[in-house]
Amino acid sequence: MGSRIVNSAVLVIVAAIVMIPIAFGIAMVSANNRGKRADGVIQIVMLTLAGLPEFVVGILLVALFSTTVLHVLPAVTIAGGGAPPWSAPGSMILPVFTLVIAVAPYVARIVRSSLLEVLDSDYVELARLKGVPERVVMRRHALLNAIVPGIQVIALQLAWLAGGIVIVEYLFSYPGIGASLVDSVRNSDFPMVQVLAMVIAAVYVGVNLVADVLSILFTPRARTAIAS
Amino acid sequence: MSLMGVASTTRRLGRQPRLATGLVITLVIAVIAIVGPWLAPYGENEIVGKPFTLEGSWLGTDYLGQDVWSRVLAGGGSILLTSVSATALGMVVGIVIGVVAAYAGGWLDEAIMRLNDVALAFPQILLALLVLTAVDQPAAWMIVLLVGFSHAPRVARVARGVALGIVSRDFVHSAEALGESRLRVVVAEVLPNMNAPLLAEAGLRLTYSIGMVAGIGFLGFATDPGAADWGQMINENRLALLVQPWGVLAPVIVIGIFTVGTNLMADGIAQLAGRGTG
Repeated sequence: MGSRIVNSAVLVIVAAIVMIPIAFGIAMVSANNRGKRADGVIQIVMLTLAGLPEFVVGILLVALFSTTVLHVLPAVTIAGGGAPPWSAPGSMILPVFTLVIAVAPYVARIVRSSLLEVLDSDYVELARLKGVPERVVMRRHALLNAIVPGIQVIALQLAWLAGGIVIVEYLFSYPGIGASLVDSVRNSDFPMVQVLAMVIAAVYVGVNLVADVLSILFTPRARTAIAS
Repeated sequence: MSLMGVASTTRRLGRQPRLATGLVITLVIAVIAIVGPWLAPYGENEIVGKPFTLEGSWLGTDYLGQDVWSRVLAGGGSILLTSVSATALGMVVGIVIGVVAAYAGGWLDEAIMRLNDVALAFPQILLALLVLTAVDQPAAWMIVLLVGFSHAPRVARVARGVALGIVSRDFVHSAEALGESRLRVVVAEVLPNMNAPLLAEAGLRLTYSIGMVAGIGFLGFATDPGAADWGQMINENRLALLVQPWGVLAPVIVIGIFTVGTNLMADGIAQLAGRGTG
């Protein structure tokens, strides 16, 4: 049970580490090309991916990379004898990317719109007029200010992942709490279901709390308001 | 609707490519789900060949040797009905909670929304699974209730946010001053002004409903084992993904197209609503 919680935590954290730079990168490309074709295409692709349930994404990835089209990645987690799943890193690729694809569109979308809002602001205009190169404007002025709404949506999505792993772990036979939950529900194992539900809800509350603290730390105004 | 009305609606949809595309996709899948059973070349439980082969019609056979294409055509009705009913239930309950909280204000608002936050701490699929632990064979109405009630706290938060912006407007105050009952103020003054954002929320909720209903089937909690159902088909045929991928891919692709359609539609409505108010 303890190792299963660790396994699930690793899955979610790895997914988050992969997802955050991808989502911010997509958002920056999209915001840089506002109103152009690239932005339109990215938005449509993101909207399409956001609509797909996670098991649809997972099964399509399995069909694409493991069974039907290519045969390059394992379709299920194979870590025999209680070895942790990351001892076979190849088998973690598909579960991680399923979660990334399920979550990244939402984050990219929020970050894009907050980037656009910041890019329209007076101080960005001033930075440009001072002759600061657009690349630096994006990185130093815009991105830093778009981080706070980014943190909020990442927290929301991480909390969502706590539920999303149920289906993804079941799909990839990943030895985590999500797969245990499905088994326990099927066996009407009430105490186990209660424990797992509490763990997942606790994760949700914890992630939200951390996000609120981080948002305050990243907002100078709120930081000084608390300090004084 | 008159001919003029149809024409102007079509023209307005043409200016909203996302909404139009989403609407068309959603309608096409919904029509397939509704009339599919009559178009199916074989019965949903008819054995047409050996399991997991390419016998039968073009998509081959499933784990019992039933025709995959016929089961795809027959298996949409249950998902469509369940997810639409669940969405409707979740919207109604959520709107009632949200609007009551916003209109009541004060400690009642606080109490309702804090309780709502507790419900929000449980991921939706978790709430559904908790109850499914207690039953061996979930009935379709149970899935509707579970999915619907798991939407309600999320809808309530949105509905309260929208309603808060309306209950303090002048026309609500003047209706109150005229002596209209609280119920009438809510139904006749507040609700009609919430249409657009709530419609967008309903589209989003429908997307999630389809995903959840199909997901519950995929996890193997079948309401009617043996009957054709897109979510359940994935679970039944998953073992043979390597030999006969269509048994899994066909339902997966239809579900995917359906949710993409509803999501596009929801986004289109949200865009329209945003433009309307701002």
